[in-house]
This record gives sequence, C-alpha cells and structure tokens, in this order.
Amino acid sequence: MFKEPVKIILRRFRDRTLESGLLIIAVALGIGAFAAGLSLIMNTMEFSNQIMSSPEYRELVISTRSEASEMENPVEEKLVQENAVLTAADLEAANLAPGVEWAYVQNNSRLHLITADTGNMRPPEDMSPPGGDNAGGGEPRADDRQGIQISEEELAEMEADSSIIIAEFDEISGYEVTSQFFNSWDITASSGSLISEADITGTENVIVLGSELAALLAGESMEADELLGKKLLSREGYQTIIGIMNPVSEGFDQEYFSPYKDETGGFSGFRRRFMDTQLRFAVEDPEDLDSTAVLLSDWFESQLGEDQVVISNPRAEAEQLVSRNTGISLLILFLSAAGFFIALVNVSNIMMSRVLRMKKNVGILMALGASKNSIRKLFLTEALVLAVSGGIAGALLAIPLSGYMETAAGIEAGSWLYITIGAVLAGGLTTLFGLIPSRQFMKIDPAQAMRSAS
Amino acid sequence: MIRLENISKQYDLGGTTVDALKDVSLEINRGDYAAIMGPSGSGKSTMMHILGILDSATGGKYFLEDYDITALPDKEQARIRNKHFGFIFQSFNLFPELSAIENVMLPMSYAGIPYKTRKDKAVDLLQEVGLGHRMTHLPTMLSGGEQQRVAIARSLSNDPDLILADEPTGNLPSDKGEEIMEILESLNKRGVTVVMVTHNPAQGRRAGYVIELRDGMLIPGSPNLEAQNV
Repeated sequence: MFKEPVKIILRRFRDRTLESGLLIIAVALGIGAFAAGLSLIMNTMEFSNQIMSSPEYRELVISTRSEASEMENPVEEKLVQENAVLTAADLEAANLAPGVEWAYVQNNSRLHLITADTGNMRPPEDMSPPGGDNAGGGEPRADDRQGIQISEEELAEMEADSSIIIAEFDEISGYEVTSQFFNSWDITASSGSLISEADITGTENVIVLGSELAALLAGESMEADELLGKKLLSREGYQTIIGIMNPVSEGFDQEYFSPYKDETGGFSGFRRRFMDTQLRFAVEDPEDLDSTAVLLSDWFESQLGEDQVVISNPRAEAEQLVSRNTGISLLILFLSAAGFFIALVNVSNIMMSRVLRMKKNVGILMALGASKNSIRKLFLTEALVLAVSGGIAGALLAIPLSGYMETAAGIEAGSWLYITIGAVLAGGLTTLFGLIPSRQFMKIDPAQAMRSAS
Repeated sequence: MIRLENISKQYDLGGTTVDALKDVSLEINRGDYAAIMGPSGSGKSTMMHILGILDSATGGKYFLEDYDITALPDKEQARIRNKHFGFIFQSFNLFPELSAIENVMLPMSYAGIPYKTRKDKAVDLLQEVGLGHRMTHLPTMLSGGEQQRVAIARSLSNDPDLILADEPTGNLPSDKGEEIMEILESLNKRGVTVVMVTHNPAQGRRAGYVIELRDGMLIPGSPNLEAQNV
C-alpha cells in the first residue's frame, strides 16, 4: 500500500494521460536507441576481440598466383608461372623467419561417400568408368572420374562388415593438412590421434574427424569413439578413421582432416590440379606479421622467381573490417546518445512544468509535515516511475532494433546483457534529469511555495 | 506556549525592501483562542506563516515552549509542523487526487503512523466533523463547507497543540462559516490552542482576544499588548 504522498504523484501521473504517455514514449525511444546503440558497440567490440584472437588471424597464407589477371608480368610468361608449385618442402621458409611459430600446408578437400542408398548411384547407362571396360560381375558403382567401383553384391557385403562405415550422406568436406595445423589451431584429439608425420609419409588413407562429423557418422547406434579404426567408404577409397577432435569453435567440427602428401601422381595428383596448395605460417605475436611477410616474400622470390606467390595477411583484412564495423557502431552510438540526450532535455523541461504546477501542493505538503528530503523523495518517485516504465518500453524496443542491426553487421551474442546495462544506465540518467527541476524546492520556504498560483 | 520577540520580516520585491512585520513581540498561551485581525497588507498572513514556521523571520526570536526554534534545521521544522501544528486554509488546500479520508491520513503518513492506525484515526475524525458518509469522496465531489471540515479533520490528525486557521470561513457562505466557527470553538474548549486570521469583526469578538496588526506592527491597545511585555 502506497503512502498518501506517493498516491498523489502516481494519480497525477495517471490522470494526465496524454502528457504522461508522451513523456514515456520520449523516454522509451531515447532509452531504446541508446541501449541498442550501446549493445551494438559492445557486441562489435566483443566480436572483434573474439575474431582477432582466432588463430586464423595470426597466420600468413602463401598460395601460387592462379589467374593471369593477377600477374604483373607479360602474358608470354604465363605458362612458366603456372608451373610454380608449392610443396611441403617450402615450409622450410619458416626457418628464416624467427617470428613463425608453426608452419603447415592446408588444402581444401572433399570426399565423395558411397551410401547404401542406390538412388545415390549413377544409373548404368550414364557411367563412364576409367578404363571403359565394365563387363561382368553385376552392376558396377563408380565415381565419375576415378576411384573404386563397387557392385551391389559388394556393397551388400560391406554393409554386413562392421569394420566398414557406410555413410548416409554423400559428401563431406575437409582439409588435407600437415601435422602442425593442429598445433597452430590448438586442436586436440578427444579420442585416437591426430595426423602425425608418419601418416603423411605413410601409404594408408587416414582421416581425423571433427566432433560433429564423428557424431553424424556414428549415428544413434554407436558411440563416436567406436569409429576409431573403422574404414569410411568413399569413391576415393577407404579412409581409416584414426582420431576424433575435441570441439573447436572455428567451424572445423563438421569437417575431416587427412594428411597432405606431396606426390603428384595418382588420385591425389588428380585433385591437386584443381586446387591451390596453401602454405600457412602462424606467428606467435601478430605484431610480427608484417616483418615475417617481408622475409617470406624474399624467400619465395629467391626460390621461385618474382611474383610467383601471393602472400595474404587475413589479419590486415580483418582489421580493416573490424575498424569499419567499430566506426559504424560508434557513429550509431553517437547518434543514439544524441537522440537520448535531446529526449532527456525535453523530459527535464516537461518535468519542470509539472513541478511548477505542483509548487503550491509542495508548499501544502511541507505545511503538513513534509521535509525537503521527503519532497525530493516524492519527485524521485515520479522520475523513477518515468524511468522504469520508459526503460522497460525502451528495452523492448531495443531488442528487435539491436537484433536487426546485429544481423546486418553479422554480430551476435550478449545483446540481452548489454541492452539491460544500456537501459539501466539510461534509466539512471532519466531519473537524474527528471530530478533536476525539483531542486528548486530545496531553497524555498513552504509559504513561498504556497503563494504559487497553481 | 509561543513567544515572539522582536520578530521582523522583510521581503525583497524587485530591489525594493518591504517590511511585512516590524519588531513584533507577543505571547500566546496554551489554550488561548486568538484572532489576528487587520486590513489587507497589514501582515496578518505573514504573521500566520511565521507562527506556523512556514516562513522564516529576518529578525527576532521565536520560542516554542521556551525552546528557541528560530533557526532550526529543515527536518526539525517539518517535524514541529507535523506533530504540533494543524493548519486550516481559506481555500481548504485539499489534494484533489486523494479522497477525503486519504487527505486526512496524509499528515499521519509523515509522522510514520502505520496504515491501519492512520485509517482508523481518519475515520474517527471525519465522523467527528460529520462526514462519516463522505469519506471516500474526492474533494471535487464535496461542497465548500464539507471540504473545510475535511481540512479541519486533517489539521487534527496528529493531535496538534496549536491550530492555525487562515481565514477559515473566507470562502464559505455564512451558515457554513458558522459551522466551522463552532467546530473551532469546541476544539478550543477541549484545550486546543487556536489562532485564527479573520477579516470578520464578529468572528474576532468570539475569540478570546484579538491581535491587531497595521502596517506590520501590533496596534497599541491591542488586548495582547499586556501579554507581550516579556
């Protein structure tokens, strides 16, 4: 039950519907814009810190020039330049650059899985298996380019063999990597092992699975750990699963990793022609990226000639993006804060007119026993009613607004927290501005207040 | 009970200093019924405000029960107004947002009295002034006489030692004014000290004595002059 003086304030607020409504809307819009702006800048900064701390942004990426348009040299030299091939041996460039902590090769890769679903198979008349001769032994199932051919009978046998994994989906993507990839990304195995030097030099097709991919392949019938040692059936051949990774936040969880091999013949050589080999050099301190890039550029120039490789620095590109996003967010925060400030000044003005209309009543309250402190508390109540109702409405406005801005900027997470912080901060400022007009009562006598006309 | 010593009050009106009260000394004893009279601008209202600590004097001393309360801090002044004084105004000064009973409960809330107690007390007081049937009405639904009776009930809510009434019948027809006067007289008979500002000589005559002011000064021969020689 409210005390009678508080009832006066609350009922005045209620009875002046239009004025109170406009006040709340002004405060809500101001708080909403400010909270959304604050949420955006905080999220942008958090997101920036998050991405800049990713291992990806401590790396320099070396690849060969793949398009003539990228070349500065005359076209007649094109063929020579396209012959420049990067291999794992080029990782020795790292020895000349003291800032480099890890160096590895990374190729995009893809495995075409053979599923039990015959709908996945190409119909016989469409098949053109390598070698052409396909006579006898049931209907062949084959990759359109190369790889193994499997008859339906063979497939049935494989399905019965518990050491063979036949997936329910037909394609997985991943990377061919050398072993330091895992060091650079600080990836560990949850079971089995990661790719070692022995796997790279060995002849067996082995793969390591991301955590989500392992769970998908295991299905509901087995634990992911049970995949270890089993052979995954793909058109590229059997892939022996040797390890499963712990979850990583970098989007690797749905992918597989296989050893990068330098051989140019056979199946790997076939695929190698369709993709650029990337050499990646990770530095310990991002400050060393520029100087390391110079050293690496010199080294590759000495080895392969001028303009044979492209050295890209993802961090520099990311920093540009981060700086642009932060700039936009700051501008939005500035505009929203300016809007909020204008709303606050208006709130203060309207509150001043309300307080002036209350002046005589304040004198009467003082005559009846209200101290100046009680009067201040009374106006604090009014300012709080305004700040809380405006703050809640503002926060409700800010959530979709901030959500939209974040979607547009590609930033997520933490909005609720920052909107709440923004709304509370803005509510506090509203209360302060709402209280300013009541300060006049701290200096006057009750008789002076009661002489007021209202 | 109240002793004023050489009280003066000056107002600064746009650079011109106006003397509202000049060197006024008087004494009001417990149980007195005093009327403050005088023409417009004589300082009646200022005197009332000084007596009720609604305004501060620019000179002189104010003793309440022999305590010098001339320069008390705001919080103490508020406490004295709340606990010891009851105010009745010419224009009633009820809060239109509050019902009759809530208006009566208001001063008790500043005294820290619990809700139930102040409600019971307000019911008793409203019944006493004959408004037991109008307790939940807003002031706008009451006649002038009824509003002034609510104001009287409000002034009595903290059992004051002194009722300060500023032209309590000024806005009422004579029959309603008579009712208010009767209530004030009965309060005085119960021992409450009453100081009333009035223009009405007939009402002045009904008081125990008259404090007559002119140009901010007590008029010589005013019945209170003997008392003020302290």
